[in-house]
Amino acid sequence: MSLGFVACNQDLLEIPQKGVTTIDNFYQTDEDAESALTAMYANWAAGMMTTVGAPGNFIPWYALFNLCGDDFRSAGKQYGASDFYGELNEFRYDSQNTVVEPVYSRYYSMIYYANLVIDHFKDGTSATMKRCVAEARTLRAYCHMMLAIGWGAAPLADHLLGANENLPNYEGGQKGLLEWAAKECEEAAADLDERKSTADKDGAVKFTKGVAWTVAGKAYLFAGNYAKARENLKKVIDSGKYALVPTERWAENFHASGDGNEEKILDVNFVYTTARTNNQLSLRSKWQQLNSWCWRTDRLASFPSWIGIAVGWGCCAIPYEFAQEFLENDGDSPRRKASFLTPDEFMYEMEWYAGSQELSQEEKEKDPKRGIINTDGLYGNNIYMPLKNMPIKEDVTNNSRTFGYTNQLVFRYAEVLLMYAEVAAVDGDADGLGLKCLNDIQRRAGAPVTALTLDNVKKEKGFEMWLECCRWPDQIRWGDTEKLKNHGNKIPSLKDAYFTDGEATHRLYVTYSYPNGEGYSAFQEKHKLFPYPYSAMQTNPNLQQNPGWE
Amino acid sequence: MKGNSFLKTIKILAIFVLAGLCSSNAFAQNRSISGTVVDNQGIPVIGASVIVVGNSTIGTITDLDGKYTLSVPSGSSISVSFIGYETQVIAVGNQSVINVILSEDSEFLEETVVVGYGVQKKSDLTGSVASVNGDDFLSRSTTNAAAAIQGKAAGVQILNMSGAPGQGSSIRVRGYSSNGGNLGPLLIVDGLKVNNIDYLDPEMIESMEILKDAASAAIYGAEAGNGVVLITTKSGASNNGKSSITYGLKMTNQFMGKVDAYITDAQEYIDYVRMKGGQIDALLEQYHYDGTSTNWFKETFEPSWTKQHTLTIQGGNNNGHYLTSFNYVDDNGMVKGDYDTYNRLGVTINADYNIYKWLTLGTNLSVTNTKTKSVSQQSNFSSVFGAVCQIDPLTPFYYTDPSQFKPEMLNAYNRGEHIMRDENGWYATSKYSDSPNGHPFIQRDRNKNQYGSNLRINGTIYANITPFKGLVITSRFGSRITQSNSHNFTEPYWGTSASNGGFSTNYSISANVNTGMYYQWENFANYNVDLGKHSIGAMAGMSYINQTNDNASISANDPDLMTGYEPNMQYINYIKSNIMKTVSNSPSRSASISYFGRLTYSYDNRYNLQANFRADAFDSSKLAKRSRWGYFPSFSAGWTISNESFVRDNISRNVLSFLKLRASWGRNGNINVLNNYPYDATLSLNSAWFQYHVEDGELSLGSAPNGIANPDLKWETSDQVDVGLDARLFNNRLTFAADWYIKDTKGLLVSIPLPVEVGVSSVMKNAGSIRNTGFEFELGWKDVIGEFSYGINGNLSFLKNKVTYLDELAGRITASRGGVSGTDNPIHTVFEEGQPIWYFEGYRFLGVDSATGAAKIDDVNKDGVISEADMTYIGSAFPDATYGITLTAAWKGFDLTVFGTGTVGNDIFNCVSRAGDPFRNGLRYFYKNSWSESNKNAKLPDPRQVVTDWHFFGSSACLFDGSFFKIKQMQLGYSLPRTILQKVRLSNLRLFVSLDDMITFTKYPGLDPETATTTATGGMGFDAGSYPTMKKVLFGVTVTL
Repeated sequence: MSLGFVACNQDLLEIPQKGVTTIDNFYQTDEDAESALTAMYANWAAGMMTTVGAPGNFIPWYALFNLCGDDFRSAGKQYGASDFYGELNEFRYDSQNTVVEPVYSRYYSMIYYANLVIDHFKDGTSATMKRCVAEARTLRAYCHMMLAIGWGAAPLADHLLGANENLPNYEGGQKGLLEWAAKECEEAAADLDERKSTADKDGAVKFTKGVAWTVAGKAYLFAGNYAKARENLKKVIDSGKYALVPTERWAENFHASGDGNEEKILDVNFVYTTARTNNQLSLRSKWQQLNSWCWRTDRLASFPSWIGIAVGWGCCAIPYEFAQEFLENDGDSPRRKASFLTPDEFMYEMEWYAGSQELSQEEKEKDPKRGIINTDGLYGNNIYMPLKNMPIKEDVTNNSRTFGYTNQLVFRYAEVLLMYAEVAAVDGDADGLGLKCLNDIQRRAGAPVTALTLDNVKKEKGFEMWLECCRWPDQIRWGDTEKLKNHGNKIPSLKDAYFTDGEATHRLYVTYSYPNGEGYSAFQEKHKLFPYPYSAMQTNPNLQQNPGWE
Repeated sequence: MKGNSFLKTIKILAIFVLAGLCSSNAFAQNRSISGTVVDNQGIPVIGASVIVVGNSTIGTITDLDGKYTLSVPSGSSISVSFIGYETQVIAVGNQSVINVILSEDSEFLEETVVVGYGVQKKSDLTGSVASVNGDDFLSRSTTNAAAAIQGKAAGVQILNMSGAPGQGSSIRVRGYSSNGGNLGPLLIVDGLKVNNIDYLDPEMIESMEILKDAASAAIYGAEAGNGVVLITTKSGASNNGKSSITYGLKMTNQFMGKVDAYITDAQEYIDYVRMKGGQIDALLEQYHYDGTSTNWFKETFEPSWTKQHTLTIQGGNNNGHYLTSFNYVDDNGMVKGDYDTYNRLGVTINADYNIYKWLTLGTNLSVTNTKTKSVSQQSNFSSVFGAVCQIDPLTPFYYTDPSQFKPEMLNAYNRGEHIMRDENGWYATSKYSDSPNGHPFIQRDRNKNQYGSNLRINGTIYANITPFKGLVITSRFGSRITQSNSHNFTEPYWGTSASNGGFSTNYSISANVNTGMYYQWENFANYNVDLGKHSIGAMAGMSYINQTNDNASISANDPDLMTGYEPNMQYINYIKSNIMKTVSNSPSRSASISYFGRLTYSYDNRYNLQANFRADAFDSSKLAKRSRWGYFPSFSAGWTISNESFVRDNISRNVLSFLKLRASWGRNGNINVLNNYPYDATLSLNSAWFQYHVEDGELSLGSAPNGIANPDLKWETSDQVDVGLDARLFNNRLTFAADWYIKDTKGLLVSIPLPVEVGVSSVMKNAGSIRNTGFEFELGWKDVIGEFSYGINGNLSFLKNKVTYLDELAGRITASRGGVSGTDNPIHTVFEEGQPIWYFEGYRFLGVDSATGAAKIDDVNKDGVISEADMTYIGSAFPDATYGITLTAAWKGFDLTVFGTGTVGNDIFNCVSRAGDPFRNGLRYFYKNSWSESNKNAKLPDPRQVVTDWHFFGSSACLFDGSFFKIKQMQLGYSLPRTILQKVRLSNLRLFVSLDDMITFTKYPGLDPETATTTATGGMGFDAGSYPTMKKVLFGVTVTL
């Protein structure tokens, strides 16, 4: 008995935790600063690339800033499939939309990781610490810029927040927040590395001077501060560290071979490695996006061998009016041909299977191994088939066809040139640099060269930057919302009469449905800003909902 | 309140009885008698009553020395009685000194109840303890000990989350007192703390005690907040030292009950798709539909057998007992083939021996090996049950030629994808619907080489030392050694082109090995002393618990994974060398130290008082050092009214045998919620990785905090008040017990969602409270009429549950959308102050506009649009009441048991039927009750108008009353007469047949309301296609040599 009472020593209850160290011992040295910065980049990569957190969102930020534009149509198996896409595209979403919510929260998560670096090392004196803080500040500024574009006067998280800190909307409003982000970048630029040269691929996958100037330029442009925008964008151009890839390599910007190329200002880097498992890798790869941007090959009569993924989800279609405008402007330019296919290109010029090109036109027209075999057709598609973001063989490893290992593009040089052209078109182009920027883009695309007017810049940017998160924010900024009213009204389905009606030869045609009701009118004033997510409104009593979403 | 009216009844009865008795008062010549009343050991019996038979107004009680004197009419007899002893009647005759030796009432003595670290007479209990006798576990078809107490005790709810073989049941004692998943009671088998009781053969249980109120459970302190279940296994002692060998065999045929909950008829399906506006006619023509009508339930399931063998050998003498038992279960579920199976081999050895008069040694040992294979259920993707509920009847079960394939399937086939098949053909992919679950056999076969096995060795050895009378010192050492393995091998497959779960191009393989070593050492002393009418008991002790776990796992997946794919190559050894493997191993340890004590005092068998106290300290993986210790007191009192002279003098014991009022207060904790250093935010070292280089992808590693710390975290604390009444009437034929309790649980661990802008999603805090209140009633009647005996036992529990506080930062906590992951259904459950825990929040369906067929959804905030702001309380998955009824009867050699149990007032949300694809199958209920031009008064709207409407499919239209009453057992047995048995030298032979889970009364239109739930926190009551309880026909025989 007494033995029992004595036997228990409280030291038996001391069990050290594995795999951790105390925070007090960290955040001291240059190595710690690098380590904290790497954690920030890891979180950024996960937040920018993956589906973590919510079901089936593919790459939420990328979807959010593309899906509402007039250059996109939510497609897929049928109405209601991947409806979080449809909700956005057809302006049916609310504050619980499973794309809106994670984008907002991930930006603040990225900001938290940046603040861990900034707050702990802001007084650091070593060059390493200063650079780490500058990179973190630029990332933080980028996130705030995107928040400002999407939500307006989103709260400014310029320090590590306490658990109970409820930030109000930014008092300076949308414009103020944009300018805050821009100024941050201007200040941080001094301590940032500069990309070594156009050949420096590693210099295109981190926050460099070039990125800071680009963010500053874009933020000022969105804030309407043309002088400051011009100043920063010009620094990017003058740096000489970036260049447009030649015409024949235009398409490479959107595939694995273009990772970190001379045109890239910022990519989210991801490289296949055997040092991590497929599961860990898939959480960093944009495989869901590759799937969603890929055609529904299961509805085709054969499986075109150059496509990287066996069965796509076909969520992306190009609206007819936009494609038509693009085609009229570009004709058969390399840029247009790499962006989408005309019916003849799709049906007869494309390689459907090994040897499919060797048939005569007559044989091709009666070839049962091409065309759209499914009689429901391709929901959401009209006669033009999107190609720009289609995963091709090089985008997936031979290790697994459904895992994508392509970088996610954030900024490329073409956007800088087009932003500069816009500034010049509005604010004067004394030295002709604005015109040169526009014409460089047009020449490289193989499109007609035009004079520098705002309209021409708008058109050119629409075509060049299609599906690069530019069109929708620009349309709101420019007030060009007229075309958005048709979203979700009349939905096409692309069919092949050879299969649907037993015609002797292939013939693509389109039928229409009105799942939202005929005469459905989508866009309203409130859609100019996204709603603060339900979860944010629930947790932060100081947050004021955006107009129309209350 | 019930108690009050009951008391009233007793009063009326008492007056009636008194009137009857007093009328026979007679006057006659008196003589004086005296004497001493002692027990078997010669100890004076204090307070024994001595009454003249036939005239209870003449009587007295014995004094402190057991002496009495009384003046009695000549020629009369006296009755000498004392509770716990057999009453003696003695004719006075000419005697003037009558000494009486009372012998103990054996029937009464047996009614002891196991309490923590001791045993108490049931009549002395001051807390609320439900006791389930081993007889209730005999001859049951269930292989699971927890499932066997379902419906047998008030206040104890058993949750069966699945009807699959080997699936354990969860026990809930007095409601739901945590917001997390750790709601189960502390389980103690023969003094050993265990994680679950799935390993126990129900037939091995001698008794099961559930300590429901805090006062009873307080002796287990920080682990007892959800109640305590004490199980005593059979030891051979109850066989009275007789040796015997018993063999039992149970053969159970089990099968799918309901095959028409979902649409299984082609014409109905076609009709329904048309109603939904799906363009099915074009498809029927295109695919040359041939009239196929497949009932997927009938094709997927078939009757199967469970076999259970039990061999028990026991014996003993005055000095000791032993029992050894072998138990084997071979359970094969109803899914065709051997994919849902459970095998268990168990050996039990229990023995005790009196070495010396002052020393008893004993041991309990159980060795169990189980192997379980299961099929998937309750998932939005990749589930056998999801598949069978959602596929259409137009599709044949098999395609026998690729020419029958759907085009996508043919494409996949031509690409060389893995199209699954068996000897009857390819598993057909529907040409019409495109559920991510595909064909049920695809989901069945994907994991066909998956299994888990468990070896458990549980043992205790103890010594009871009795240095002098009244003091027993116990030293008990218990240990559990567990060894579990699991293996999985998954093949690529192509089922549908649906994005999630429709296909996979990867092989995957995994193996896990876990070894656990747990031991507890407890030393405690019980001292009991009787000082006249005062009875004092004391217990004090300590316990130390140490547990270590060592788990290793390895897994890999890749389209090109193995060096070979034959069954004998499907092991980790044969993964290709260049494949990246995930490996893990991190041994862990946990420990706790406790001191505990109990004081009991009783006076004159009328007043009982008890106090318990426990101090617990837990290791640093659970609590910060400064908040390591917790203190848990309790107090209780009992008043045995029936032993008061005003009752005993006035009411015959034959009418009112026993009546006791008891009340208690106590405090417990729930430590289960704390694991893995929850109070600490440390730095997660080098766990983040990034690639700074485009060409080589070299990894750089980074560190960041793993959250925001809260060093003040504590366990959850429950304070409970219990008031109860126990009564036995009419010669103990009628038993009645009632309890009322109120249980307040504070300090719920709440993951407080931080403002999104903080960038860290949440922090853990003790920041919520729940109140459970309830009434519990148990009523029993047993009687013998000649050779016919019968009994009825019923129990009924009402439960109310409410979140009484939640930190305003937490606001309201919502569980995952749609109940199961991967659905867009907006329905969810909410944990919110002022509401029952995890209530369903959805849209309120108000009915149908009969003119248009449109669904009417409640616009709660009246803003003219239906949006998430209109989501509101629509129901709760937790029942208002649960009950059980057992009828037993015996006549000559026949015995009959009918047992049923049920719930009232719980809701089930069916998420199989859903918005989106009009071709997806769903509940037949939706088809049958939908609006159409010819049925304008329908309950449900025009399917076409709601086909993609998540407001409708997230509304109360999909919420059903889950109340049910299930007749769990209808058993008829026959024991052969001894006269025949003696000729073949058998002492007992019983044959029985039973219909189990055969009849369910419910309004729920899905498969089985009992299992229609997920196991996730906040996932109660979501039915995404679950394994229902199988109907069973049981044949059994028990032979005793």
